[in-house]
Parts: sequence; C-alpha cells; structure tokens
Amino acid sequence: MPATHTSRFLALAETLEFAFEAWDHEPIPWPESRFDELALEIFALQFDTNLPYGRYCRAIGASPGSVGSWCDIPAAPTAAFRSVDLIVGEPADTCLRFRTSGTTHGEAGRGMHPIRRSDTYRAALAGPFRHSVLAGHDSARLLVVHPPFQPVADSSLAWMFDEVLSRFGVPGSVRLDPTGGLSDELVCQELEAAAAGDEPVVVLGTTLACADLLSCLQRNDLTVALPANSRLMDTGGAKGQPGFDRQAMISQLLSRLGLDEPAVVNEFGMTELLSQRYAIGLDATGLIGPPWLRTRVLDPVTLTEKQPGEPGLLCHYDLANVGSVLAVLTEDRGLADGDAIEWLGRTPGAPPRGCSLATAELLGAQR
Amino acid sequence: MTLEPAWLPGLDSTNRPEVYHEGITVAGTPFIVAALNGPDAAVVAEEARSAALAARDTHGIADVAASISRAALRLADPADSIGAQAVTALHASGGWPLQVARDLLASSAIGWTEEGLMSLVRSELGDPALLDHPQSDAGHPGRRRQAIGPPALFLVLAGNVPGVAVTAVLRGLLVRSAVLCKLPQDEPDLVGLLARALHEEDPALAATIAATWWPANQPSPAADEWTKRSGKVIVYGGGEAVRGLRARTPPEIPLVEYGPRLGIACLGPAVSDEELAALARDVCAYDQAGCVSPRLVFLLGDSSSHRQATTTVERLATALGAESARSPGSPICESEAVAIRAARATHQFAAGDEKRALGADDLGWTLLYQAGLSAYSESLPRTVWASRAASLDDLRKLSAVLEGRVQALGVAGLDTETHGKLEQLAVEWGVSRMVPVGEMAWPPADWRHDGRFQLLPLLRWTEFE
Repeated sequence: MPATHTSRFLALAETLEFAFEAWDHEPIPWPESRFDELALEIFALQFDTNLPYGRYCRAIGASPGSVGSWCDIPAAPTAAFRSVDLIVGEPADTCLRFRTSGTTHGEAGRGMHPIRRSDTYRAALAGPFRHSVLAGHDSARLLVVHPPFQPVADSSLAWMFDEVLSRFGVPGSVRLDPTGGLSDELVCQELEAAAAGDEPVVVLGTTLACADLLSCLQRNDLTVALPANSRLMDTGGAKGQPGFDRQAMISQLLSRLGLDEPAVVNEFGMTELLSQRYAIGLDATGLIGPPWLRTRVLDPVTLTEKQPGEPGLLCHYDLANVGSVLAVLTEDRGLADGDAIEWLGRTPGAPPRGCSLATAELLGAQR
Repeated sequence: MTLEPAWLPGLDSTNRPEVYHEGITVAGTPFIVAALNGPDAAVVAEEARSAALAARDTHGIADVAASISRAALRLADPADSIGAQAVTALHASGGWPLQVARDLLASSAIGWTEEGLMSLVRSELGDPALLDHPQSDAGHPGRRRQAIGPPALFLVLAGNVPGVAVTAVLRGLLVRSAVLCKLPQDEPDLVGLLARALHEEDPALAATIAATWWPANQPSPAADEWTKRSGKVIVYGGGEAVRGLRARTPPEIPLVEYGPRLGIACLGPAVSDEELAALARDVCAYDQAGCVSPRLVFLLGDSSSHRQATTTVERLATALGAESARSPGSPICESEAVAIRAARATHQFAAGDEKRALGADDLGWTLLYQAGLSAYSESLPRTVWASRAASLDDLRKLSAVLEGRVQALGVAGLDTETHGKLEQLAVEWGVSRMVPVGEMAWPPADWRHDGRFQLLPLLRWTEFE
C-alpha cells in the first residue's frame, strides 16, 4: 500500500482507538454527526484502498462523492468474505485472520476476515466488555470455557477470550478447554475454589460450551454459590441444533452456579465485525452495542429500512472495521428497538424452486 | 382462498373427515384439505378405481380425449367460471400477476387440445385403438395386443410450473387409469378445478380422479393406501420428493420418477438480439422453476473473445431486463433474496473483469458471468450463470456434471458445423431436447420427458397369440 494510504489508515485507526478508550472511561452516547463523519471518512479510505470493495462500489455507482450519510454506505454481503480478502491495503498487510465457523455454508464456505491492526480490535472490545460483562469493574476472576486461539483455527472468539483473560483476569482466572470434553475433576475443582473466594467470578463460553458445563455439573451433582456480583456470559446460540432451548439450559446452569437471572449476559458477535453487542438477562432480546456500532434492519429484497419492530435482515456499520469494510450486510434476521436489536436467527437456505437442478450440489466445493 | 383444493369422490358431505391438514403455498397463501385416514383413503381409491374400470366399457380413447380436453381447456379460458378461478388460484398460490397467470395457463393449454392429446397417443402407440381393444400385429399374423394403464395410478405431483400437474393427470386419464393424486403444495388448486370442470363435462370420468394433499415427511395413511392400491407410482418434483417416494414405495410396485434436471443454452458468436430476447423468455418462463429452464449459458467459439463474450452478456442482460419488465415474476422470498445477493457478491467482488454480476435492483433477474468455463448454478429464480467455452471439446469437460442431467439444450448463433457437433454431444450427454432458444420452456405435448416416452411407462401390455 502506498505510504500515503498507510498513514491515512494509521491516522484513522489511532483516532478510533483513542475514541474507543475515551468511551471506556466515560461511556456516553456519541452525537449522530460524530458517527457520520467518521463513517464517511472510513468509507472514503476503504473505497480507495480496499480493492475488491472499491471495485464493488464502482460497479454499483457508489463513491465518496455520491454517499451523503452513513446509511448510504454500500454494505458488503457476508458472502463477500467467503470469496475475497476484504482488507484495506494488500493481503500481505494482514496481521491476523479470523475465519467463520462454517455452520451454515460448510468448510468450503467459511468466510475470512483479515485484520489489519489488532490494537483496533483490542480497543473496540475492551470498553463494551468491561461495562456489560464486568459491570464497570476493571477485573474479575474469569473462568473461560473455550479453547485458546490457534492461528490454524482462526477463531475470532478464541482471540477475544484470550484477550479478556489476559487483560481483565485476576490471578486464579483459568481456562477450561472443552476440546475433547470437559474434565469433570477440573471443572468441579475450579468452581468450588471460585465459590470459596470473595471475588466476583465471570464464567464465559459459547452457549454450547455452557451446555457442556451444565452437563458436567449435573453428572457430578454439583451446585455451588458463586460470590456476589458474579456473572455468566454465553455467546453463539444453538448453532442450528434442532430443539435446543437456550433459555432453559441457561436457567438450569444459573441454578447450579447460585446465580440469578440478571447475572446472565448474552454476547452477540460476528467474525466479520470487530465490535460486539451485549444483552443483560435471560431472554437476550435487547442487544446493546457501543456508539461506534450501528445496525439497520432492512427488507431482504429492496434493502429499504424496515419500520421499528418489523423483522428483516441485519446490516451492521462497525467503525472498528476500519481495516476491512465497515458496512456488512448479514444473512441474519432480526429486529430493532431503538438502539437495541434482537437477533432472530440465520435466514434459512433458499428451498429449490421446482424441479430445476442446482449443479452446485454436484460440484460441491469446486466453486 | 375459499376453494378447497381436494377432490374426493366417495366421501360425501356426511362422511367427510373432521381432521384437516393445513398447508401454505409458495406465495404464503394458506389452504386446508381433509386429512384422510386409512379407511377413507381406501374408500376413495376403490371408488376411483371402480369408476375407471366402468369407464373403459363406456368410453373409447377418442371419447376420453374429447372430454378431458374440453374440461382442461376451460382452465385456460378466463371467460369461463372455472378458468377465472384458475387464474385467481395461480395468483394466490404462486404470486403470479393476473395477466402472467392467464398467459401461463394459455401456454400450458397448447398441449391440452383434443388433437394434442391424440397426437401424443399416436406418437407413442401408433394406433390409439390399442387403448380400447386388442389390435392385430401386422408383422405377426394371428398375434394381437392391447395396452392399457393399471386400474389406478398414484401420482405425486409437482407445482413448479403452472399447469404441469394438470398435464400429468391428463396422461393418466389417457391410459384409462384412475388417478390418485397427491397435490403439489406450491399450486394445489388446478387439479381440483380440472376435476370440477370434468364433472360438468363428463361425470363418469371425473369420478376416476381423486386428489388431496398431506404434509411431506410425515406418516400418511393416504399415501400408504394409495401406493398399495396402485399399479404404478409416478413422482414428479425435486430430489427430496423423489428420494422420499423411492424409500417408501414397496419394491413390487413400479416407480416412475421425473426428478430434477436443468436447461442449458449454447450461444455462438452470431447470436442475434432477437435470439437473446427469446432466451430471456425461456429464462423468465415459470420463474425458471422448470426442468427445461435454462440456468447455464455457454458462450461458444474460438472467436468468442472475452470482449465479445462480455458484450453478449450485456446484450443478454438487456434482454432479461426487458422480459422481466414485460412479464414480472412471482415474489421473491427472504431466503431467495439472501441467496441471490450472496451469489452476486461472489462475482461483484472478484478481481479484474473475469467475473461480472448484472441484475435488477429488485432481484427480479440476475446474470452472473465468469470468463472461465463453469457448470456452477443454484436453483434461484430468474438467475443465470454464463461462462465462456472456447470449443465443444472445452464444453465436453463438463460431462461429469451435465451428462444425464440436461433436459433442454437451447442453441443460437452457431454455424452449421458446430451445430452438428453439438447435436452429437447432446446425444452423448443424453439431452432430452435440443431446440432453438425461445422454445426451451415450452416442449411439445409429445416430447420425451427425461428422455422417455410419457404414456408408455404408464402402460401394461397384454399379447394374444
């Protein structure tokens, strides 16, 4: 990338990191104009230096000159993350690669989000995590039920858990790696030790890992009483498992941990986004994000904005994505209520119409 | 909809079941039908079977063709009360604009004329009288033979192309069988309307039809009874429907499958705007839901440079836009919208001009071009994948994907030599039809569906020596 582009990117990234950290110290809403100005500046950078995205914008007739507000910024469908490197600059500028899980599209259809600068991700995740999960505290005893980040697996969630563990975890914090099955002995030992202490504990994991944790406690008939102000954070939902009842499972786990319903925090994140939303309480309906993350609910066909409360496709605008593409059109259904959103699930695959053969099924991964 | 789509002779209003199945069409319109239990399904099947056997004594094949044609053509006559209901039903079930629904029915009705039906019989049997009485075999003195369908056929119908279910029922009636029909969820009304029209024209034949619907992938006493009481099971539709029927049909009952296939088009450098407009009509017909619908387009020929290919693609895009404006499609559902945008994205973000995505903002049509040869396609409405093929040898590289799976091959702009070689390739691949573009979506009444006869697979033959 030419030096001018690099310096332009770095200047913007540092501005954003400073703004994210400032919000962490004083979490107040941003005026509309601030988000708009930053979004348009990032769009101009991405138009110029993210080659596939710039090509797409030109093809649909959008440019910094024609885009008047953040709502008009062309959104990249998540499918684009499955086919090209959406990075500001060159693919060689990538410092981290996060890949989607492939739950919906299989191994061959895994998307990849190239990360230009990990400091931006760090700054974006810290404040919202501290305020939503740690209730504003600077640290806690963390029990992370998730494997560590491995470059091969490329999980953004693993990277995030590693980051919060090292940044916010006090001594006694521990990782319970569910790979190959949780160790009953270790789980019981760590939970009993945590319950015996005075420091609030935060248990973090995917929703399915929480289900594994519950099974482990049930197998061992273990119920503990975690210290006051302890919390449980789950993320990811049922991942397409039919009949999985998240609320019932979390409710049972809360009982086993000696926690009440307000102690639950549900995190909503995507590999394609560097910012997260959080909802307090069991039903996970009011997902709130930081002021640099906005979401519109769009009609899936026309891409016009739905009325408040009407379900549609979620389209996120995440300024923390300064190094890739800030506007992301998802395949998720959801609805908005003010600044909060509710995630309703992934749009199911289109059923084939009639008896016309889709050769994609035959070609499999040859795409 | 107020119309109940089922047609169940033998179950009068006093003994109709009180349990109902609730269905929903592709356009989101709900419908209900009586849920048949096993004994009721048996009564219905026996009524239709008895009526079919009785009609063999009272009706000759010419009488059958005349009656069923009169009834079927009423569906395509918007001035007729049955025809008006058919248009309304297509609009409600498939979301087709009213004028498009009228046009679709008119297109389907071309094969429903008395002459069309009799020409189908003649093209497959030679002598229609074979369906009435034993006929002498001119080549073998003293030998006679007769062909007729089993007393009952069980048809699992598809509703992807409006009217195709009616055509399937007419074929069953032509071979003198009772037709026990599982109605298509996407388009549940037309067969019931046919039965009502036939009841007014020829009640004895209407009594040979039974039709209802039940949810897929659920145990169904009606499906079990009708399978058991049929001489053959005929299934139309997508891969899942065909695989499901195959698994449930006892091995002693013959199963005739019409599964998913696709249409492809090969365009030479000389393709004209008129031919591209004709191809656009093929694409837009029935929202590309038919097995004959063109889904892959190959731009053939050494002289077909990248620049020339992209120009052709742009001309085809213009034609698709014009055709979609002339004949709007049915509504696109949320899942389809997401899938179309995802398909477009893989082309829109690709490097250079090796890939291009063209399409309407409202997703009414999409044309995805890539310079490198590709057989990739998805089953999405009015969405075409186009690529370059330097030669027929190049195209032959796709044999593993296309052999045995192409229902219609449309051609335009080819020189005579290439056309001849493409005919050889069509035979090699087992293509059912090779036709000029513009004729892909409308096969003649006597075409070889899936490369097979339409009536002969339904028949049983008896020889007298």
